[in-house]
Amino acid sequence: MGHFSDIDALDLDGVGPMTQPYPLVNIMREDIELPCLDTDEVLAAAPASDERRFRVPPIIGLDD
Amino acid sequence: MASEIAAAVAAKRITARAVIDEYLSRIDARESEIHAFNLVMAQDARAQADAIDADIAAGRPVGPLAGVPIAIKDNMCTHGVDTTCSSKILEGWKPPYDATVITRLRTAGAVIIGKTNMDEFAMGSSTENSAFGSTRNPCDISRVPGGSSGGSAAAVAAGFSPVSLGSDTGGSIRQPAALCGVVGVKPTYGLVSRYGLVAYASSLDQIGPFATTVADAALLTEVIGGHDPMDSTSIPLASPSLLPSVSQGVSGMRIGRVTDLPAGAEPAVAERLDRAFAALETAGATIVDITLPSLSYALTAYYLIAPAEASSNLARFDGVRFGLRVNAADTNSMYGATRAAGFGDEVKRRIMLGTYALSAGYYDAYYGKALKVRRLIAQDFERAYEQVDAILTPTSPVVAFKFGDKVDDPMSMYLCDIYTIPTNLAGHPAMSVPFGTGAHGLPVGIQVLAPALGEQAMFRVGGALEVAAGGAQ
Amino acid sequence: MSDSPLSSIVATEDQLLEGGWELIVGLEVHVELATRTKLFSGSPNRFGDEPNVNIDPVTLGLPGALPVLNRQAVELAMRIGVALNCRIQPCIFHRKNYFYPDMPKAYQISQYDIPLNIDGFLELPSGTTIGVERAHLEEDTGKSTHVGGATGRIHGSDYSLIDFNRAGVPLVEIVSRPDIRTSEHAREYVSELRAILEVIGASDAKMEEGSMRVDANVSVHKPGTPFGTRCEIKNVNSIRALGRAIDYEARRQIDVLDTGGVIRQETRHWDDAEGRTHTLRVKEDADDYRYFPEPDLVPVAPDDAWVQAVRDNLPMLPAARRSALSALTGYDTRSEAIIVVVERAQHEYVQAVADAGGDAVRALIYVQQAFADAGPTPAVPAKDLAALTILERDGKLSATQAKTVLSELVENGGGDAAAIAAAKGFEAMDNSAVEAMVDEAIAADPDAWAKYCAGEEKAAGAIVGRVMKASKGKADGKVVSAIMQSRRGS
Repeated sequence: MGHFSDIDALDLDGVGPMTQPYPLVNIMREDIELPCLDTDEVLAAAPASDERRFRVPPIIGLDD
Repeated sequence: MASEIAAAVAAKRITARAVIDEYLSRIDARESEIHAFNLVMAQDARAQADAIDADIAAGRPVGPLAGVPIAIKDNMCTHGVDTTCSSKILEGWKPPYDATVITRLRTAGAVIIGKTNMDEFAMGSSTENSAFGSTRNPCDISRVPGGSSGGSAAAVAAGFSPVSLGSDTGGSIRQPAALCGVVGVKPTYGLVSRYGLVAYASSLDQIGPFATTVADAALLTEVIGGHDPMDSTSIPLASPSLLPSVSQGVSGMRIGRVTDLPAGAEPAVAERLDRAFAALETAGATIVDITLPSLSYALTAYYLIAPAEASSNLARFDGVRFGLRVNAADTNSMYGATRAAGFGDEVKRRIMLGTYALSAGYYDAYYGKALKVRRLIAQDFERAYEQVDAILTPTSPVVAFKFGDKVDDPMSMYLCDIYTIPTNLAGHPAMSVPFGTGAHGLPVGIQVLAPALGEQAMFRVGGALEVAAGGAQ
Repeated sequence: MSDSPLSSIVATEDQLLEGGWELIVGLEVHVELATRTKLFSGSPNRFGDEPNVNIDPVTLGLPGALPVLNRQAVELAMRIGVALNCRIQPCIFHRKNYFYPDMPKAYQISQYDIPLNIDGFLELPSGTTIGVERAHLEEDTGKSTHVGGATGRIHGSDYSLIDFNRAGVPLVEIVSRPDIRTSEHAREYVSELRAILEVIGASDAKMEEGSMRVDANVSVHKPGTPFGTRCEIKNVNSIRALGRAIDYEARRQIDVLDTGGVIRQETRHWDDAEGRTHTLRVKEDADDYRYFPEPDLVPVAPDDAWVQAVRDNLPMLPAARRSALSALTGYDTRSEAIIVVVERAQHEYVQAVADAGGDAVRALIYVQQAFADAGPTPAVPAKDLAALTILERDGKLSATQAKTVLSELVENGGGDAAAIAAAKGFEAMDNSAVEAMVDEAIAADPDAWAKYCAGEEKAAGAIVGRVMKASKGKADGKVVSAIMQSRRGS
């Protein structure tokens, strides 16, 4: 992380962060149904599935 | 040339099938030497070509690229066809949907000839980070083609396809274009849909074309560009008309020369840049000296922003729904084992770096700061474009280097992108045009930069450079 | 719950728990919005379908997928903001990064420090105001079922199965300030919130179905001292369970503190069958979700016209409905009659009865007493009910008689009240006749009368009973009581 020390020297007060290069606002879509994926095709690509669901080993050590 | 092929096919002077067979035979002849492709779609391509021919024979309307072969970088989703990002974690994965650019290409009648090799998840500048072996530079097979879109650049340079698509996050189209001696374009951020592009850094990624001529690159950009409702960052504008700009010339244009450009370009590369300025002046442009003081911080900002976004984008590769899974006793262990086995070293390095840059207590010092540096850079460009219409720099500071030269020195590899990174941060368009040769007779690319949605200015300059270099008419 | 300035609400004397402890409760409520499609993609927002059918690349978090915001979700979120008196502001989305199998992208798109709605409040029917800190948009996760263990929970399971139908469903998370001081208020808050959400069409808000999920943050302290360490209670699946869980947790914490122990900051699971909470997960530090602004989405800044339209088109909220009924009848907004009638959405019906010339107070009482299952649009025509209220008001029917006619109106879905009364031979007695009967009853039961005169109110029953029997129910009970009181001299 030492390579990043050069930006420490910059005076960045009053400079706003730039999350997006092109300023767009209010991009939304209408509440209309679009075609869904084929469940069989999707489950066929799954590493493990059972009863039409994705199957994973016991979930321990993670947040609920 | 793509446009010639399209015209010939449409005029029935040649069949799409004959075209694809020709390119497939070239691939047959030299692909084992070059390894541009992860997958050559011979059977599929022939079927696509036959379908085009049937449409033409029946008098049905076909698109502007009907019969034109195109190679696709392997990080763009192709429905039912392997899309691996040159990573073990996606080996054998067939997406259930097409990227928007793929849909647009198919509608235009292009024939997808294969998926090309790349640095794993687009992280790299030499294509040496591929999990499936490197690609060789067709100009000199002991040297790298550049990266991360090395396969797509090499495919065009080797004549395996007249055009190809790549993606560019910090220079991954332009730099390999320069090293392989072909044209490469990164459009304005938001001009080309990212839907279906496997994300590396969401606020930096763009898809763009490789071609042998500036005109073909303009044509491809027109076909794939324009608003896409499936991408919220897609600019709500129709695809711009770009082809006419290519032959418009640069008379009356102001071209910027960056006097405080970070040093590091090889002497031959610097010389080529001087020649390029001279050529444009001769062609009627005025050269204006400008400064971009924040540019020296661009590399730092990029190597905080890109890995940060990447660490989040690549978290979905967890072995649950698709791709590689390494079994374990519990889910948490499964995540660890899957990602350890599935990701290469450079990917792991950037994920770690990115996670750190976003972590509590460090966000403001790293990621937060980098976002502010990004705005400084954008402001520098804004000021410069009040004085000039386009800017010229070298694309790459060096010509194609030998395999293994930079693999052990990540910093030196990252420096390959020093001239290309700023435009990704600013979201501006830029292209690389072949302009003579440098050391060892290897190609040198000159980079043309333009302001956001300034593609027309960019293609005017690119077209003029091409003429000056003795390229297409 | 945030770390914003502590609540300024102070419990009253009778709200304090035994031992002088003050209960501090904040509620986080997640609400599924009633949109047709998901928050960021076009697959259906539908409950109960076959597993993994309402899926698309965005829902599954496939490589290359990108989110696009559902306008209707923003509309509904704004309705919630207006209904909860929030400030609506330009906002952005953030990524909340963590691994979990039902989180397809390994991050949740949510809102962090710049959410859509902030600084609102909810007025409880009983009168207390509870602050609402924020109400923001976020996407729901898929659903996991755990197979193999004894209880269907994670611990001891052999494997888990994930269904992504629910992944991407739009949620609004409503976070209250820690202003709640009793478990009754907590139940009231959720009940009122539910009513509001239903009225504005934002959600059907059914806890039992999971379209409204409530987590409670509970702590206790002695007034005047800093707030205590709080615990988060999860798995509360009904309003009744919420009350029980808070009561249990408060007592648990008090017991710990009373015996010199320390409360650990943790998440606890409410077990309704056993009636207790137990530790799910200890929170040592705040989890690091590495929040950063979502680069795939752009800011949302609803313009003034949109906000105004939401305000203008918002239906009358339960609080306003209670006020309207109160103004109409003179009853307090906190009275049970009004609360119950508004809860049943029968306020408009009462208004209709009054509009048809009926007596508003009697209409309110009749509806409260006899229309429990009638729904918002009872079958009895408003004018029919109005006629009955007037008969009683004008003394043509006693209260008891009116009640009988009322049940018949309800049973038959309407009718002519006067005709029914006549058919039954109902008519009110005039007061002098009632007086005479009262005097007869007093004479017949001097013991009861003596007790009544001595102040035993219960003894009145015997006298009243005689009068009712003698009058065959025609005497008006209120008139009888009044006569008795005046005879007694009180």
